[in-house]
Amino acid sequence: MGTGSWAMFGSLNINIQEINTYIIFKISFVMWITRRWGDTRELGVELPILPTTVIGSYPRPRWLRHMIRLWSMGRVDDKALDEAFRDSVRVVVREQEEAGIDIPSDGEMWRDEMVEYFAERIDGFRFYGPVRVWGNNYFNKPAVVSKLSYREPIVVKEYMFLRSVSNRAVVKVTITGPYTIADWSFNEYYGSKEELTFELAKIINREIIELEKAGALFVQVDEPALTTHPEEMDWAVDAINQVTKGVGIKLGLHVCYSDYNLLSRYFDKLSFSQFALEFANRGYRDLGVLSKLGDREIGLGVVDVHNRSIEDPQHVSKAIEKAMTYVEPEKIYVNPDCGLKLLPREIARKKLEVMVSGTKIVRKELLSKGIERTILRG
Amino acid sequence: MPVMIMQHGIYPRPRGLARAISRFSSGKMSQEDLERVYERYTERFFKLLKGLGYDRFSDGMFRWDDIFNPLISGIGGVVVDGLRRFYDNNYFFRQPIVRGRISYDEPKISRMLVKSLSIARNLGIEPNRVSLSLAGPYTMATNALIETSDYNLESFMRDYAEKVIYSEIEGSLKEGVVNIDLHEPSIAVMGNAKLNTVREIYEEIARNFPKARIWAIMYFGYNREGVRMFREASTRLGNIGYVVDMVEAPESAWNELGELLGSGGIGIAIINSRTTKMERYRDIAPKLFKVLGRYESDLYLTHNASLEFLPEKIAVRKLRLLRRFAIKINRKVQKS
Repeated sequence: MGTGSWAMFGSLNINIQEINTYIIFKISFVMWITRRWGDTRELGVELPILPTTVIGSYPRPRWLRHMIRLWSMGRVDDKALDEAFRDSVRVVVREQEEAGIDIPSDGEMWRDEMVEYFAERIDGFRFYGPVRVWGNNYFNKPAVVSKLSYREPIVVKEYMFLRSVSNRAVVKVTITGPYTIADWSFNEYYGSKEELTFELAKIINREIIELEKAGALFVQVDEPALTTHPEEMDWAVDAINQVTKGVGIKLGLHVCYSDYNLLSRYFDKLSFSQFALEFANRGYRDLGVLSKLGDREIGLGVVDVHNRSIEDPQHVSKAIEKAMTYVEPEKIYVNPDCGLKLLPREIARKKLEVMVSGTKIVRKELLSKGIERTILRG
Repeated sequence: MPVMIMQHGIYPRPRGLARAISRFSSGKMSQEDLERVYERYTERFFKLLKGLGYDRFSDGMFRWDDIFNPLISGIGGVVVDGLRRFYDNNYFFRQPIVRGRISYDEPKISRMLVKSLSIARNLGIEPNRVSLSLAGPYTMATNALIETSDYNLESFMRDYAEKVIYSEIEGSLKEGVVNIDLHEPSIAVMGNAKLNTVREIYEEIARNFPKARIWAIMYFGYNREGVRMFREASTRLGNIGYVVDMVEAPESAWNELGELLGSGGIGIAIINSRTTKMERYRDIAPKLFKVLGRYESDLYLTHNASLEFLPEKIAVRKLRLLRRFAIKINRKVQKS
């Protein structure tokens, strides 16, 4: 499929009926109760204890991939493809909700790749062609060739559509962070990677503010590259914090397949209320870093997304119980290690079901201690 | 003596070939048809390098997923495991896990190279211009997970060299391939702790195969001690060469480079394989001229890491750019 393919799908048509839920939600948004809790604030939305969520991506349905292929061959028009995208969001949100997920995402149906998608929508990037990431897998690594500028909202319409189709009180929007976009791009224009990252941080900050205006309650910034260059961590953390400036909603930070001992040294410097980390893949070896979380929450990765064998609920419940030896249950969200998109769809769904079942085992124990709910905190 | 130009390592796998591999993997293409696609792209690659006048080059390594695979799948005692990040790149490889003493029954890679050599010969390219590429002992050992008590890092390096590298060099020499490129990013990245062992292993390889030219390709940084070590080895044994990454070296490294040249071959990497930004002759030439006058033996200009970190279009531009630099430099040297 060609690059830059979805840049033209900027206009999602959301009908009025579809946004009923959104409007109701918007009202409750305005009625926020804001209460301080350490450095974080309660946002007035109640959630079941140990809220279950996803990291972001979900396998695209086969028929959507087929439609994309047909579109790339010119055999279906933009309108038909747009409809297929919207239908696929409806389906994957419903699948997450049926699996029992409390905070679903739109599965990142519109996105081919996490850096490419944003680079296509920010002025100043260009694409020279694909670069291999591993084996026979490629991505269109963008190059920064001129001053970057914010063209228009990037994922706000996606959020609005997700909000309109989900039955849940809170949905999650994911955004690739400035450091990862900079690290996974070629820099031909800025004097340094640091300068480029800070420029990107301004753009991502503006996007998050737009999302907040549109009613989003929970935005997750994805920074898988964050610990790749330890010598850059100090300024990288400063840059990432720039995206949170003036933002009052819940912000999570997802960092995966990374050095968590290094990351944990920066927990108290990062202006995020939640860190969503991958633990199943590493056999929960680095859980000790949770003792450094302070008043932040953990998004606990409990299913391995690069392994097709399905965990059992006891595996999940034990993982949560282990985490509870470091963190109070009110500060634990439960999620897969990372995005699910590389798994077959059936396996992705089963992993979510197992994740929810395992969470319910622990919830039952907590209920006996009178712990039933938690509050969304920003 | 004019400067020469060298390409090494993995060239960007073209999307057409990647698609064919995917089709083959999902049973939609036969092995024979896939072979024809490999041949077509290898031929295109050789034509490009020959046309640009490159003095020596790999075969593009189109069958490789990364610098360790498929080599490690042919090593007994090694299991191919999960994905691991390749140094600080957004690029991942399947990690070798060493579970027992290693064995290597046949020179898998040099046999694979035979197919490329036949294409090269048809294009009038002699095998001595084509190199065999392997992960060097230090890079293999530091990227493997050694799970057996049979080895520590040093003994694994030695055994890998003696069993795998020796076998591949024997296989290559039989086919007329003399340039053996051992990729060693770990020398720049991992520090000096094991450099003595590395030197001993390289000297042992060079002594055992006097007809081969053993190249240590160093990149992702500059390790002064590593360069000095190869200078000494190359002075002692004329068949050791080394590539120095001057792209990621500090400016001061240019001042000492003249003193770090041995009597074997040297490759000076002046083209950055990790950026699409094009290098400028006026930035590089003055530094190079400081060095050129001090060197009598084979001197190649090259790129630092494999070109596969670039989109193919940019890799081609950089290969052309390197050629233009070499032509300008040689003209200027001739005049002076």
